[in-house]
Amino acid sequence: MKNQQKQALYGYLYIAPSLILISIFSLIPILMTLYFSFTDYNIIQAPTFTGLKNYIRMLGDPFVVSSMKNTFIFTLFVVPTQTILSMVIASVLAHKFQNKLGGFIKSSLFIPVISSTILVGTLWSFLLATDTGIINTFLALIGLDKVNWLGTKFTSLLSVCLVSIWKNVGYFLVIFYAGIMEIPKMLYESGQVDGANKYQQFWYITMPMLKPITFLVVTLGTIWSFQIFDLVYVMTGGGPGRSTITLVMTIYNTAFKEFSMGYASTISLLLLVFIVIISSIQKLLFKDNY
Amino acid sequence: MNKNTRKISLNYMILVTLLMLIALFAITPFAYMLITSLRQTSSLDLDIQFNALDFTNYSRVVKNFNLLTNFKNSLIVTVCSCLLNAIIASMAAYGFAKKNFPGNKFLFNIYLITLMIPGQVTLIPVFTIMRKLNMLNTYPALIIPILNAFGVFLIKQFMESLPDELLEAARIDGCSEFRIFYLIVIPIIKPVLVSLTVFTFITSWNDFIWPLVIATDSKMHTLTLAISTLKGSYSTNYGLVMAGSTIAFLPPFILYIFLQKQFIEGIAMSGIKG
Amino acid sequence: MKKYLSIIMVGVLLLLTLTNCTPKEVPSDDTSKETTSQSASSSTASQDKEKTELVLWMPPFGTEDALDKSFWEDNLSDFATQNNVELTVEIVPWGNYEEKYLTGITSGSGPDVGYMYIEMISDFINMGAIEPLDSYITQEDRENYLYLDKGFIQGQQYTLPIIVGNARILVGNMDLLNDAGITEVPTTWDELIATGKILREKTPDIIPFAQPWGEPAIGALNSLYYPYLWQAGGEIFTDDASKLALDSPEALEATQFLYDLRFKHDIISENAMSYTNNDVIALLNDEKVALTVIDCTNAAKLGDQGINWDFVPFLTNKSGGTFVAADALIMTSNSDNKELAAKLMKTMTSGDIMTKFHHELAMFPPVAKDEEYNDHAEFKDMYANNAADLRTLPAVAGSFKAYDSLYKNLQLMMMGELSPEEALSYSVEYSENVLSN
Repeated sequence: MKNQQKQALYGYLYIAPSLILISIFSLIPILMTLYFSFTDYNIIQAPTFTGLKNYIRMLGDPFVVSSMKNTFIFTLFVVPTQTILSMVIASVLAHKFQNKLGGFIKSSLFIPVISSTILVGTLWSFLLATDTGIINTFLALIGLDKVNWLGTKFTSLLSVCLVSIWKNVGYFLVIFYAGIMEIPKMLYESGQVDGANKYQQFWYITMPMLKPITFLVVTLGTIWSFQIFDLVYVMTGGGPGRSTITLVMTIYNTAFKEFSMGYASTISLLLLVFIVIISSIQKLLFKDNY
Repeated sequence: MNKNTRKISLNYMILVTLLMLIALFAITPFAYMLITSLRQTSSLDLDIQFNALDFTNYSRVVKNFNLLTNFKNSLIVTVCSCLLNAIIASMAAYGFAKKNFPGNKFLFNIYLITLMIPGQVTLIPVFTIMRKLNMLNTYPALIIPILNAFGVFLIKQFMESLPDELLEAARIDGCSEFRIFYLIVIPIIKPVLVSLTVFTFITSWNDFIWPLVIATDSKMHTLTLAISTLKGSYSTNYGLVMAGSTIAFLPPFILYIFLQKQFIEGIAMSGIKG
Repeated sequence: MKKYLSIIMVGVLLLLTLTNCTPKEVPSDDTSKETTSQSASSSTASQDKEKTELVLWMPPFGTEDALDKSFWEDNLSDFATQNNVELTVEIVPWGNYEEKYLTGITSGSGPDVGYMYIEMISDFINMGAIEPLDSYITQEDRENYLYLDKGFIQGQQYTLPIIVGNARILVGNMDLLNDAGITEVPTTWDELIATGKILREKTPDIIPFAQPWGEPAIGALNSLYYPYLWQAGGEIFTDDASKLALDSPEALEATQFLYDLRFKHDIISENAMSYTNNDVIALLNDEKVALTVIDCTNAAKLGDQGINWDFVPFLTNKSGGTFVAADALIMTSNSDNKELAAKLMKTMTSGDIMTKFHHELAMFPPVAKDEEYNDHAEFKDMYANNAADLRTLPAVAGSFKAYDSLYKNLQLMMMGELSPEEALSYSVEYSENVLSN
């Protein structure tokens, strides 16, 4: 008994530093956000209670509606694309290029990962400049029309999506690669004996074996996509119009340019609810297939 | 036989070309950044005068924008974050994984929920808390928000596979709790600690929105933050902006070059055990 | 790992000792501000060795080589010595101005004297963050300063204007215009349309009229939209500032004009949606743009690039009109040294220092009678003769939300998603909702 108590005490001791920090800087803030969402608060003066006013405002707010739409579209496009792309490249590298070349490819694709999103956004906003950016210069060279990358509704969101994928593929590639290396060679050998070609092998052997890792990749990817801010802030500022504005960006503008912390908190809660719902759905979907 | 090998060869060459193109696509923007940083230009075209390339922009950036201070700040914050995160998260993970105490499961589920909350949602309240604690414009303010439940989650997964018998044996031998933790547990979880450190490093070094909000004193600005203000202030000289960006990019890049194996292995391990 | 750990720990310890920094230190802290306030007159109190601390926040005006910080420090060193002041100058980049003030003021590490622009001033006044200056301004000051009225808000003198100028002017690349057979920069709306059409026909590779619709900051409206609004006789806000006054026929006329430039006359191309201010400047320097509305400071730089340029202050429709900046110095309410802060503000705007500012950092017209005209020669006549048409923004609290919605709706319109009527009515409606708080 005494030993058990002693162990329990040690348990508390070990989690204490972390728990204290998480409580102060993660849990309490959530509760505060909940509180602020019912107030008008400009941070300098004390908050004034306003009931459901912020929630009502949010329902009809074109900025919030556009942000939600963009964030969803962004996530729906980016997550599957980067997952599949990284999985396929990992598979190709693992099966055919376990050599210096493969190492080089992996290393190169990882470089965008270590760079900051701000840097990436700035670089790409230069590369994608309509008249003078080198992407368009290149397109013109091979006889295609220049594209107004950051200037139309569709291409601006597309550009942000593509840059985000460009940045993160290397990260997921590494994870998938390691996962594929763990798959017993025997499975592939017997597959080949049974006459399966490489596409069938990928579909029936690689993909199922990678399920738990895919779950991790998809979950991480989704959470990151919902949080997209830095990239858009630097590349387009949310424009043109409301084409690329995201939820976090709206929260940020509302809090720090409009000085409406109360309303920003309301939108924050909306974001939180979305992420919880989507994460739960994903967990259910994947658990079924385990 | 010959026909087959030639056919395979062709496919192989196509794959190689494709992969090389992809790799090139990944690297080219950074090469562009480097070249532009050596130019004095207010236009983005490729009309590069190779004999006019020099390091003027770099000396300007360093001299006029106090980037060395920003670099120092980024370094302090990042190193402290990595260290503290490794220590605190592994302690908590050990507690959750190996210690039986009432509320273990409940508290860990709370941790999982905080994982789902993006930092931006709690931005305003954390700012308010920091203000009340008089912590605005301080190093701890920059470091603490990076220490979150992710590390605990990652390490706990890894720790579950640690055999209890090993720990029991050490306990029976008279080893104190802390010595068990330090001498046995930590060395075994080394791979995931590396992984976490890599992740924390990248996150901390590149963090933008939090330093933007909490460190309004430009003496406390991190490098990433300072670079973002470059684009706004004097951005008509693109070379200058790129020089600043290169300076911000170099430390993680150099670290990556030297520790490439550990970086990649670390991320890989998190996938397998995650 | 152990090895890495120990190396890193040693490194961190070294760094910490080198930087002489303990974690809880607040670099620009409030707590060391002296409470021994010195009355402005007894400036030579030699027994009191402790200096009063004053913090000044200014935005950057200089170039990469001319240092704003050292400019102010050098030129205010006399003031500092004479008043036993320890002056800290912080250069605040334009981009994140509001956040910096917000967090700075609430944490008590804000400035004593700072620079603000009109869009943000009313919000901070309403927060009680800005100190009225009436008691510090003498009759002599009132006769000297030219633009005090622009700082008179909500019945009090809240600001001291320091920069009034940088008008947004219509600039033309004369070489490109001449290539198409045009000899003068257009002066009316119809002339702009006609000129644009000729340019499209004769020199199709040149951008006839560039507008930076991709510029993220709402300040872009100053050159993109408000000039035309004023030229049509419209106003931005209603008199009681309860909503945008854009549901008027004048506003519709101006908005329709821009819409037609894009969709009817094809003088503004689709690419304009991606142009930031810098993109337009880059294109100007590359001689790809024939006409554009740009601020005086950047216009003047065209000469350095070897561009043969000319300008008109504004187009004329029912009247002339264009934007001119009126940025000002403010004193924060939680400053501990208000007398000295006021003195600092007046020193900064004195003829001597303003002359040097205009010569070394950036050129603007004088804000007081004790300074000669030190802006670019080209603009002297404009400032002298067109004062009535050089308009500043009204000081309205909460205007950011209204402007942001207006800007986004106008962008949507220029993308073809909204009609001019819709863009305006949505903006007015939105402004009614948010400004009624």
